[in-house]
Formats: sequence, C-alpha cells, structure tokens
Amino acid sequence: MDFDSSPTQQLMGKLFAQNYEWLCGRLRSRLNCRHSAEDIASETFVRLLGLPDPHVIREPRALLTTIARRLLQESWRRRDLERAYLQLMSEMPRHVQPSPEEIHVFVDSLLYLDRLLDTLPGQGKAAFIHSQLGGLSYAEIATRLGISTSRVQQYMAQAFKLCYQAVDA
Amino acid sequence: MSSPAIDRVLDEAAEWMARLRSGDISEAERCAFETWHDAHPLHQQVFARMAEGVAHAKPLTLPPMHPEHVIAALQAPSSRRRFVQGGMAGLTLLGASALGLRFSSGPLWPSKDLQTATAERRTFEIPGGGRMTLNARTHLSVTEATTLRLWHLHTGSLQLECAGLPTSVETPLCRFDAEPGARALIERHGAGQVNMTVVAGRVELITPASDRLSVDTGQSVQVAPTLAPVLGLAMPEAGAWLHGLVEARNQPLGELVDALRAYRTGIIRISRAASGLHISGRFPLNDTAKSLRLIAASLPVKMTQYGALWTRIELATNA
Repeated sequence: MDFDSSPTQQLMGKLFAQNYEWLCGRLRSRLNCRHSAEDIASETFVRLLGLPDPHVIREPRALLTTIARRLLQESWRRRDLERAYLQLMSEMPRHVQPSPEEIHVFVDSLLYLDRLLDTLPGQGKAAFIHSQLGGLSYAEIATRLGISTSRVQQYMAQAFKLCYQAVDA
Repeated sequence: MSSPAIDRVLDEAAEWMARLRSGDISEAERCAFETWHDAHPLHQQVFARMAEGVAHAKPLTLPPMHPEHVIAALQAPSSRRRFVQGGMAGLTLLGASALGLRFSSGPLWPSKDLQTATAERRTFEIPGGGRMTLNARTHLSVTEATTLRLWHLHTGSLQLECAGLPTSVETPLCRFDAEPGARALIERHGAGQVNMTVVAGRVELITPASDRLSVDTGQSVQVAPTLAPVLGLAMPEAGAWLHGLVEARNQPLGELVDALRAYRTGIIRISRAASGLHISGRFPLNDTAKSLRLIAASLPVKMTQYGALWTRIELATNA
C-alpha cells in the first residue's frame, strides 16, 4: 500500500499500517465476527481521514477506539431501528415486501432523523415528524399530542436549530 | 462558529421558521418575517442554512411509512447503551454491499422536497401532467407549490418529460422553460456548471439577465458561472443513466467517477492527475465494484481499496 508523497498521506499510511490489524483484533473480540470487525475498522480509518489535522493526533489508538466505539453504537442503533421498522412493516398489509436494498435505504433515513433529533424529548420528535412528514398544522399536532400550540411552536423551533447545525457550513 | 450575535439570529430564525410552517400564519406575520429576513445578510445566511437543513431532514425514502410509524420506530429502545450523538459526517456502515437499483413510479409525494438516496432513481408523475425522473443523490424542490410548475434543482440530474402544462426547472445560473411534448435532461454539477440536453421538443433557457435562448431537439447547452451559455450538439449518451449505465466517450476519468459516486456507498478518492486521464466504455451504475475493476483494467492507474468503503485512484507509479 503506497500513498502519494504528501506528508499527511504518509502519516495516514503509517497510522494505518501500525494500527489497522490491532483495531481489527480489538473489534473481533467484541463482535465475534471477523467481517463486521473489518468493516468497522475500515470505516474508522475513513473517518480518521476526514479529520482536519491528523498531525496533532497524540494518541492514535485512543482516538481510533473512540471513533470505533461511536461507530459501533451507531450500528447497534441502526439494528434497533431496522428491527422496529420491519416489525411495523409486518403489521401493515402490503402487496410487495420491500427488498433488502429498500430496507437499507429506509433505515438510513430513520438513522439520519434519529441522530438529528436525538436531543429532543419524545414529544418534540413526534411534533417534528408530524409536521415535517405528515404536513400537519401545529393546531392539529397540538390536539393529537395533547399539548398547547405554543409548546408545539417551541419544539419546532428547537428542531429547526438542530437542522441548522446538521448542515456542513 | 458561534457568538452571541449568531445565537440571537439563530433563535430568531428558528422562531420564524416555526411560524412559517405552523399552518396558520397571517399575512401581517408573513410581512414581518420578510422585513426581518431582508434586514441583514446574516439573517439571510442563517435562514438559508436552516432551510437547507430542514429540506435535508425530509428524505424521500420514507414516504411509504406513516408518520406514526416513523415516530414509533424512533422511539425504539436501544439494545445497547444510549446512542451518543457524534459530530462526524454520516456514512453508511456494516454490510455496505452495493445497493441494487430501483426504478419506481408513483404519485408525487405530498412534500415540497424530492431527494434521492445513493443508488436510487425515482420517477414522479407531476399532477397536471408530466413526469420527472431523478438520478441518484439528486435534490429537487418545488418553488411554485400551487401549480407545481416551477422546480429548483439543487444537485444531481433529472429527466423532465413535459406534458399538459409548460414546466420550468431553475438553477442559480438560469431557468429552463419546457413546453408540453418536450423531454430534456438537466444536470447540475457540484462545480456550478449546468448542462441541458433536449431529447424531444423545445426548451428555452432564460438567463438572469432575462435573455432567452432556444434549444431544440438534438441540441445541448452548457451553462457555467460568468460565461455565456454554449450551445452544442446533444451527446447521445447523455441519458444513459436512465438505463443504469455511464457511456463514456473519451471522457475525463474524474467525470466518470463523479457519476459512479452517486451509486456507491463509501468514498472514492481520485488524484487530480488520474482524473485527467481519458476513458471510453460502458460502466454499470448498479455495480460500481465492476465499474471500478473495468477502470483499473483499462487505465494506467493504481487503485487501493479498504473494504467496500474506501477506494483511492491515482496514477500508477511505473506507468
């Protein structure tokens, strides 16, 4: 594995060579699955590449562990959402079951919303979804959730701030 | 980037956004919003970024799910410890096999934003006549919600089949007015360039200075920032994506990789030198792994891959 001669890319190459197998080993013992361990390890390095300045990394293994842990949590959450989605879909009459690819893409969308709205309380999430996906007015949402319209307005404003922060400036 | 000033504007923008979407805003309030919006460039910037975030939070792929189901799914208990919100850019994870392509037709969703996911193409019937087919990773929104005749292409590419009523698609560089019977392919590149090919009928290009340029069947036009539109012949391969292919004819490799990216979960990085190589051939969009192998086999490049998630393309060192 060769890289361009840029110092950053040489550094990344070195970090990879020194730590990839180690990280795979760590993950394998947690996950009991070699394939998943390699996927998460690869993804961890991809995220590392996205960091602004790899030269200031003092403790590569600590950082890699942190990133990998976050990815693991994300993947568990994805599994939870997928399970919930499939459960709900199975209760609906459908002429055609979604394909595995369709499920993957739907769960992607759920995961995105899940992360975006994570800091909102349950009712705030519900209000946002009703407005954003269901197109309900705040009056309708207020009735449905048993709260005041001004509360709905508050939740929505909170959610919109989260939307703002989610955009890469 | 945060400061007391920005925090205040953020609060105000959020309040306004909430009022605008409440479903019961009065004319007076709407005027007050416009006054606030126009009062300062920072108001406009913050509001625009917020609107972008809001548009992004309504992915197209969810509509088959009732809002109640989405809420129930999000309330799914965590099987492991509570998820911690990270700041990293979102990328898909475990089991990232290449997504199969779907080509689905259906009614226009009752939402103003249409966005396709990676490897997803979608066709929509426009109420009142006509059809839009969106390529993968394309974002389109409706500007004129009452008649659904004016659309804004944010990123990606689409095919417009105009029927029933004239339909327009706008970008920051220009607007395209299609008449019924016209079929056109419109692409908006990240670098700002917009291309349009007329496959049938006639489409007019309107510049910001209100100059009109007529583009007929078999013609194409390229619009770049600060340059006059360039009229040319249509490339027959412009619509190949509709059939799940890229047909490259002595094309820069960088452009081919751009087309493949929208169909691949994971990153493809390409060096500037490699992106200038020229390539020809047919490359399947539903099998980006195969397309990458074809590229590696036909050009003097070195391709490095880490799992399915990261590919790097650069000039081969012994070329």
